[in-house]
Amino acid sequence: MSKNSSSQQTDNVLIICRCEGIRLKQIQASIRRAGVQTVNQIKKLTRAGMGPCQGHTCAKLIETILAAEANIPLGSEPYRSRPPVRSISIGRLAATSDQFDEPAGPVRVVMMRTSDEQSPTRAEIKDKNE
Amino acid sequence: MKVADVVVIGAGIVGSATAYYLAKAGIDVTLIDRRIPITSGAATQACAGGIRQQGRVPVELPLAIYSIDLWTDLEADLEADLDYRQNGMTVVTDDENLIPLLTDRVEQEQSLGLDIKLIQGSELHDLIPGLSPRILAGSYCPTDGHADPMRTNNAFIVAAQRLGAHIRWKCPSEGFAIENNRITAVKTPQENIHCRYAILAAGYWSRAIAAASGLNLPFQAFPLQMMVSARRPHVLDQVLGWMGHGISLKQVLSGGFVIGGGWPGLGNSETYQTHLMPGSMAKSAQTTVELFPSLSGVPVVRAWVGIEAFCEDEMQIIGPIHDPEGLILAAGFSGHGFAIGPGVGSLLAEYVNTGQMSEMLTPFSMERFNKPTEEKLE
Repeated sequence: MSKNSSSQQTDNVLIICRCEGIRLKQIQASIRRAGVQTVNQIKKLTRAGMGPCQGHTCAKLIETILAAEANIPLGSEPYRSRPPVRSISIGRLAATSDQFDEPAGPVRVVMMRTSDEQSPTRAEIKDKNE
Repeated sequence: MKVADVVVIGAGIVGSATAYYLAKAGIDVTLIDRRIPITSGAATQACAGGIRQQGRVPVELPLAIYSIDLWTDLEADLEADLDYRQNGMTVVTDDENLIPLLTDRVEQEQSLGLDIKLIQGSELHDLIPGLSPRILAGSYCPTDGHADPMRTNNAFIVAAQRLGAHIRWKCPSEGFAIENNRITAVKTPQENIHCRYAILAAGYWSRAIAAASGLNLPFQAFPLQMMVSARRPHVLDQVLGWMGHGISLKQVLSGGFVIGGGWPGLGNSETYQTHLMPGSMAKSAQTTVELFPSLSGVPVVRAWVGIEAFCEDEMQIIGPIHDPEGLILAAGFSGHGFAIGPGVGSLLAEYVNTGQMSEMLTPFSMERFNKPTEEKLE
């Protein structure tokens, strides 16, 4: 479909993802990359849908653009939004930490590597900190 | 019959970097991955993006320093914006009993050629405004930094292609064709891709591919959690770690705070399905506000989990397996492979090209598992 200059201008300025400020032009450009067939690839390429609303606003729009540009049927792959469904402050999240027994700690305590045999082991240091 | 010089299996950071440096050396390379473009690299996607030299075991430090040299020119080499910033990293402690240990590590790393120093008190708090007042000291390495893992991974793939590497997506490896103890092809559902060398860089999934040839890689899959906050004005230049605590904290260029630190999630390596553990989110948030109290009011907008391969001794396996000949491993990076990915790729390309294995890689050979316990790493 050929476009007149005013609709091309619209594509340049039209914002699809308000949270991340991603424009229609950027979404269209990502779809032209080789092998792009899903909304989640577009998300990873452009960051559209990675902001505070997690795609609640733009996921359907992006699906529609993908259908128009690349003939991918609507609903081919669900848009992968991430928890938390609604933003929660780090402080409020932290305040819930007493409610959880699991996990006991991180998978491995980072930054404790040392070759000094006299040093306490990571586990000992971890115990000391708890 | 067409025979590629090298087939690289797995298009995460390690496989992509290896394919790039091979193509750059003029070697005919095919990079294959079981997934589709932009989605490859399971551990790479769970990566916090720290580019650190400090806090590594001494045998890994030369490789990390060598990699930082590559990182410094990487955006120009790959002709891509990787959001790389070399603003330093500081690993702190609030426990005076740990300061001697921190001092020992700093001195040891200095002796191995790293630009690092111990900073304490007001010098530390002036350098990193916003740290909790309880923090007493830290190890500051000005040449550590961070970059965007997904951009970097994709940039390596695009640059490799530009230099003539072939990329095949939706192309899982099903093991190897072997004749007279030598690899002749990588088996895939479509066809056998004939090659002289196969480089196995498929993270945790390397285990199943190697097992098809009777090779047992001592890897476990660990699903690890990441969180990112809403965007805020820039306040934190450095990457922060905290001795004895699960946190890696940085503010990326867009303004969000990226919070890692090895908190576990749940995941299925067969389906790639992952789930968050609410307790991990809460405890990671708790660690974050204890380290950097002003983040308390900043919202978490996203949390996710990716699957990483942890080797038995938490150290990657790199190098040729002589049974069969032609198979080269580069997997099991145990949560610390992103920063050294370019170095590993560059040195493996050198090995394929010259037959010489760099001393920076030899400590990570599979042979270490055949030695008596006391000679193993760490």
